[in-house]
Amino acid sequence: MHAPGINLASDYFLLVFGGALGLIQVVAAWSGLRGMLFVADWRAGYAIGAAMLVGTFTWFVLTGDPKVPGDTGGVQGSEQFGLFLAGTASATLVTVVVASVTQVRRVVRGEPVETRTDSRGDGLDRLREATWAVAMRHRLRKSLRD
Amino acid sequence: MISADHHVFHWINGLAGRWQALDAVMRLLASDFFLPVVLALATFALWFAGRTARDRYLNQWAFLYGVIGAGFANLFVKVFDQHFFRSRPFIVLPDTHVLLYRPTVSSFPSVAAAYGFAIAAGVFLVNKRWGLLIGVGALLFSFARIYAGMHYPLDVVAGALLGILTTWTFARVLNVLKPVVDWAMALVRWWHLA
Repeated sequence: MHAPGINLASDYFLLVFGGALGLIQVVAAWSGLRGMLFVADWRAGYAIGAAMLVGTFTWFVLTGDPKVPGDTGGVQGSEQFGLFLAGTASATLVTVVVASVTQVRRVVRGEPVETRTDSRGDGLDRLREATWAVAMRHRLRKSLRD
Repeated sequence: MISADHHVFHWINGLAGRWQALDAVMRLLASDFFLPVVLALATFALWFAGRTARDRYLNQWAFLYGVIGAGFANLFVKVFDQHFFRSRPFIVLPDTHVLLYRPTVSSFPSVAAAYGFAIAAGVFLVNKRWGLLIGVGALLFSFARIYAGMHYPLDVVAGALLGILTTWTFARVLNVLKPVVDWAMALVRWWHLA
């Protein structure tokens, strides 16, 4: 069994990670970043993201003590900052990797996934059509060629 | 002024203990882990948000203003605490209703308010609607901390002012450093993550 502080720290990390994972799906759907969606459909993106967000926060609130800290104390501010950074960074990484894997089938089926190397979109904008893996492959190829 | 502060505190904190459901909601809103995470995630969302590249670029600046402002506001409260100490309401006023834990650091200024309003101010500088929404969250967080017996209203007002002024100041510093920030963002953009 974990000590309360360790348990709370890991729960806090999971709250941020799960919340960020869901939030990215919702924002990607709203912003038209189809290459970041787990399922290449904006309605599904909203649904999956909202379910993850609500589910994560409900779990955190309902599983009770010591989620709302009592006299036992909690996770310190600097530790919270570190855990938040780790949670959001890993959620971003997991999003682009999972979306790249789940959308491989779109490439196989010949759906309109961005494959041109001369796309005008850059940065996140490139993920409107291409998945992160496809965009990075083109980026690295271009860099090696140049 | 202190007397008025105590009077308003009694009025707000006096609501605690009357309705269990309201207490439960306020306990959640005042907690160190709920609204701070909601506000931080709302700011994080701006990194990806925008229907055009230009909108997203501006939102990323809003994110940076909020994060830098909140970071420095927290630091300033910590430095302030080294030189000034105000006892918490539950130490001074024996009839205080305490809904959460009993913090030992100085009550003035409220780090919770400084954090929330610093983020809200940063986002508001670029994205007015989102900044106002985060501001409502910061206001709720601050009110709940008074309701829960952790802060006086004056602590919250001072924290909010400190947060807003810190963000306003550091936003100007960031604007001066815009070429450096843009260069750093271009590096992240190379990885298709900005």
